[in-house]
Amino acid sequence: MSGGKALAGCLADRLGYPTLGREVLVEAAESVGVSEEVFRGKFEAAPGFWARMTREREKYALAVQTALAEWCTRGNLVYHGLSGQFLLKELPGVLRVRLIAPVELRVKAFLDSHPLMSQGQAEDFVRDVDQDRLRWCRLMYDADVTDPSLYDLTVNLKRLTLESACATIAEAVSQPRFQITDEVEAEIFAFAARCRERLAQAIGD
Amino acid sequence: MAIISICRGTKSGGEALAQCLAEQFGYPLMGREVLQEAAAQLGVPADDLVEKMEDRPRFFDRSTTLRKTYIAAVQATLAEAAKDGNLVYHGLAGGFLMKEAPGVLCARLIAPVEIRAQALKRSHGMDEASAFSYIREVDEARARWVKGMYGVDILDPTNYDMILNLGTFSIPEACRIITAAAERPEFTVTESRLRDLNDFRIASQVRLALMDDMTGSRRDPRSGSHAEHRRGGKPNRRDRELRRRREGRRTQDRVVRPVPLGGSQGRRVFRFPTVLQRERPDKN
Repeated sequence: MSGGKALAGCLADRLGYPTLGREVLVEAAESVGVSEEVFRGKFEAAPGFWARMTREREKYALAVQTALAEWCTRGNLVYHGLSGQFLLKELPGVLRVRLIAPVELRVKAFLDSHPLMSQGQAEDFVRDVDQDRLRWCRLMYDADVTDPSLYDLTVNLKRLTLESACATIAEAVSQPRFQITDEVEAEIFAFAARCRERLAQAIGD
Repeated sequence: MAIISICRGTKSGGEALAQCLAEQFGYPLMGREVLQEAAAQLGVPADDLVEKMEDRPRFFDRSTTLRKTYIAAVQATLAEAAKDGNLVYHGLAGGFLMKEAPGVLCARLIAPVEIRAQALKRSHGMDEASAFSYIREVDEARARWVKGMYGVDILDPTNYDMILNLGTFSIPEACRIITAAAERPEFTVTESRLRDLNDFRIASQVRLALMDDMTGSRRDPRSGSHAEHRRGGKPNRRDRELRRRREGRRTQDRVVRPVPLGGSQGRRVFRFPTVLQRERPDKN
């Protein structure tokens, strides 16, 4: 509810790149031979208090990483799905951006898209989503998702409009270090191959 | 026109980035010299002001009003420098000091501690352990100061418009990215914002004058006497404290700890010392 999807759309228009969001999960579900619902339920759901990093969850994370890596081999991409900063950590040429927005703004955005909800329900929902994501990232990657050092750039929509955030990120990604050179492309292909191998091993186990 | 405030930890490259931005836009640059100007305005030694601006307020800090006067002086100096709507500031707490000013782009720089330690080793010839320990201490002190003065977490990303990681970006790259943001309409200084900046400048001066009147920190330009004398009242503790500082004398703030008085069955009784400050002999 921070405007990530809209920002990704703006960047895709400005840069002429394709976008990819949660639909990566569909491809990942196919690769491990389960339905999207089952996949989402087991992979995305926030772990309970006693939940541990199960092999199944690990396999699903590898499936998402492999699907995302395949997308990267096709060239430029704007990804706005789950935990891109961790899934593409090994890759050069990736600009990792975190978008933050005041809770009031996020609650308002949620209420706009869910008019039947009350203010209190919307606030609870946004808070729960944040908590779930924190727990999920801590369990999966042993990291604090709010830690700015995990990202190259953090953009706050408190005062910056979506268009301004888009222009700023476009400037950041236009820096030479984010250009897909032949060298970077080779590393992307090698990364995708490593992901496929790891996933095949996880499925075999 | 725009006002850019760079917030960063020690040796994170903030000064170099601020210089780059100032050159890029042709704006004046201001860093720690704001403290010297504020001290000169108050007529107190710069070291005193720096100490109060950087030292964390303690629970039993009897110099709170004095500290607030110093902060008001720094804010007034900053507001004066920003009145034309073009400034790059890279000193302490810019985002908080200019919170009421319109259209200030507040960017925070972060850098891996290894890079910062390397910079410190190069500039100060420190060994690695000392560099790491120095950075940690300065970071903690700043975080405590901001928490104590403004009640917020300096690391909280929501306090900034953007955060750039200098583990990724070079200074020229970060400079280009902040430039792109500063040129957006949200941060462009318009006629209306110039008026608001002037209001901010006046409000800061009034705040300083009020604080100053409470502490009697400045000399009366006509009589050369102090504010407390102008008021005609007896100098109070704050008046005396400020005068001591202006005259180059220091007062030692003693750390106050509860004194155990004993007790029974696991319960302990404490009392606090009643004398919180004591005079330290003049240096000279």
